[in-house]
Amino acid sequence: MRIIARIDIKNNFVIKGINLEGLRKIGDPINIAKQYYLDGIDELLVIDSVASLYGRNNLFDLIKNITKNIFVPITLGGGIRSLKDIEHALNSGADKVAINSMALDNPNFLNEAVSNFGESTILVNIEAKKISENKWEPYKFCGREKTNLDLNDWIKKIQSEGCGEILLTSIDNEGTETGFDIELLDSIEKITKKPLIASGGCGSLDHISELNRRFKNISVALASVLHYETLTISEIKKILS
Amino acid sequence: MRSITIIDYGMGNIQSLYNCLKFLGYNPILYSENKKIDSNFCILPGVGAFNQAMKLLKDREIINNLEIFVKNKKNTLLGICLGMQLFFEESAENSKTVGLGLITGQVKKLSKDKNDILPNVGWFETNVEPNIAFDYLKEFNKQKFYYVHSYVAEPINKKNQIASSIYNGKNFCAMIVKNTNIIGTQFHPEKSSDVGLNFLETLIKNSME
Repeated sequence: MRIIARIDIKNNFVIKGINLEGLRKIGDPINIAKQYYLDGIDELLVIDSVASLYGRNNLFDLIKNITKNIFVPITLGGGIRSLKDIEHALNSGADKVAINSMALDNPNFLNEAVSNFGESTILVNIEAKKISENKWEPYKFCGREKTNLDLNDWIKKIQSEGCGEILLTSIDNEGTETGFDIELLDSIEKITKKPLIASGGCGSLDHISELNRRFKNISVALASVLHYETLTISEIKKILS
Repeated sequence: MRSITIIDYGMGNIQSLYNCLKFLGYNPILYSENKKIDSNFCILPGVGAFNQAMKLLKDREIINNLEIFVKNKKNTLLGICLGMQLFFEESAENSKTVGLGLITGQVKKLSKDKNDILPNVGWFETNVEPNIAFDYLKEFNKQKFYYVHSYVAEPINKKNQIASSIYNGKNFCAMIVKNTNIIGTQFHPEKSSDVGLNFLETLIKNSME
């Protein structure tokens, strides 16, 4: 299981919300990323939470500074809307990009991205919200806009278009520290054929070991527990070894 | 400052490799056109499809220069991930494609089972059993390196393989060598934190002696 630190950014600050809303300022992204790297994180996931909403790409300069002295994989997300954006992200030192809204607007974009940059570079970011019993819907723009799609159909679609990994954020559990959305993960486990990263809800070591026990080939993206120092990276690694 | 050439042929991310070499105190030079490779250590990186990579190497007339480079035993060529796979004779990826043919063997899909999850991504323990020429790499035995790949090299002569790791209970080739000056890793040392940095530094230091 890979332990991935998720760093959401708004206006050059690391921020954290609950259910992807009510954002609170945490600190400077360069220092925070560096600290997680020194503490032994497996990967970093840096997401500009408003980039795709406003169609701007101010994250590249910041990512340049973050990646200079960090030698673990770094994924950049938020506002990736063209092949040029992907090229720009990689040239800034990112290793992969996370795509959400643009894939929903034009699923074929994933196919283009994969044939140009290789599937291992392309991660699809899904923000899922429960809409009825056993039914989830992928959302756009960091949980702000409905798509009227069914989550299972969407996962099948992105897997046929092409991607290297899937990041699945539970909007319902995000920022709550009440545990990962096991129900959601159960519902998609059978159809998922790509490495899966579960995001949203982690509040304790038990939450992580439960996930590790129940699911094969799953990784976790952590934000609150690292930002608020509820857990340390070394104690997480210890329970997994 | 020792210079190290990175072949920049349009396949994948070379910025992180560049940053890594810079951090270690070397002078990375990006090489992208038909000319002599002007340092004693050269890295062929690569992320993406085998056939596209070979086409770009051909179009940019880099292949001939790589062949000249490795003929001089004072030079060392390191292939990383797809870069390492390109050393082989051919790959089954997409349509069958002929590779550089520096090492006999093929590149094949890691698993044909549709239920297996690919790419294989993560930090995996690596068993390193080097030959005499690369004996100094034995300190990396059992270390964890970062991998991301769906294909894997299968050298015909097992002497070319000096490391392995495990996917779904089966061994796969993690590191290959040829002669004293060709080496390739399936993992990404430039993304493997302190262990990876140490690996690169050890390899470069020992090859340039």
